[in-house]
Amino acid sequence: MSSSEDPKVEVYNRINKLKLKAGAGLNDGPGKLDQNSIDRANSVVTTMASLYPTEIRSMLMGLEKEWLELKDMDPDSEKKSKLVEKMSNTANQIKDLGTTFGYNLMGHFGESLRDFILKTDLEMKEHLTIVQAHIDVMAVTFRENLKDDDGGPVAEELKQVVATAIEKFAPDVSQNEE
Amino acid sequence: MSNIKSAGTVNTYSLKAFNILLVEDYEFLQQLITGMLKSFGVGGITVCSSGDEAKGLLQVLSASRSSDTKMVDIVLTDWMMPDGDGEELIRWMRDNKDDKIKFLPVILVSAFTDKDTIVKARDIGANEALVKPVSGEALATRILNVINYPRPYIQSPDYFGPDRRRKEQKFKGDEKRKTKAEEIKVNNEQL
Repeated sequence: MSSSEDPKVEVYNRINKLKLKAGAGLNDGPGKLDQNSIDRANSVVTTMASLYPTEIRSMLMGLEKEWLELKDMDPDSEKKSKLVEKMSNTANQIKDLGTTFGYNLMGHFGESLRDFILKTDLEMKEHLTIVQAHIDVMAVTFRENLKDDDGGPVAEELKQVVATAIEKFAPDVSQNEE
Repeated sequence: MSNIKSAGTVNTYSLKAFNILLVEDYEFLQQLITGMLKSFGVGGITVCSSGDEAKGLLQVLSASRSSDTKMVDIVLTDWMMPDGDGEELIRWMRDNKDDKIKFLPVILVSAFTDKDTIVKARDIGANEALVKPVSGEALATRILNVINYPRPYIQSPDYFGPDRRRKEQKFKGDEKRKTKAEEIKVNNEQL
């Protein structure tokens, strides 16, 4: 079903089949989900959150392994870009995991590394230092069980470590991010 | 047809007949969101690990004539994934010639909290965006928005997707436009 308001714009008003599928009539008002089902979904989040330490430890170990492999790799290896992409993806998953369960500081570093690694020149020692700084601060964040990225002197110090390293050794990359 | 029906009461939906496609590369988060959807009573949940895999599946389901295969009702997708990310998937869906794919509601589930990503997702045709951290309430609200408040789809030269204006806002300021009669009067005075 479509109507035309303007020769260049078409508007499609379709039958709300999802509402019918959900068991309501087309003329019924907005519906809701059973509160018990929402509570159960929150229990799933709580249960999965309890697995966060184990999962994040495994992710950080994986990240470190990928990093060691990348550093040892022949500079001309064709696999290099694949591994960089893999590391960026692992960092992104760390970000996902951190932010999903409210570990925002871990999420912050995951996001920073995800973006930085893609811009890294692996021939530059300074860039390697920055990647290493990310990995180190993530390890400290996990070990100290730090959650928030907007509070606490230790969290601020760790963020500063990475920010200063990028500013000092890769200002061009830092500018690109802004 | 209705679960609960009487004047003034709110329907409690059943999602038993729904088939939801989750596109998420990270297995841990697949389990989390799948678990939440099961809690809501969603009858069919299909998981793909990449945008490319999702494209293939949607094509197969849409083309299938078998009564055993059910087309997807809602797509939940991550934004950044290897082998076809969420952006690519949504663009592909909205550009699709097949109406069964083109009009599918898409909820973006993303850890990207920046406004630019959310605006971009809206501008390529996502219906809803769920920013992590996820909660039962947040996920339920996005699904309910798709069911309760489906927006018309707009086809313009540079956009196809749900109307980006959620509702028409009435102008609350003073009426400064002239009526037809006033306009004629002004024109006559100027002559």
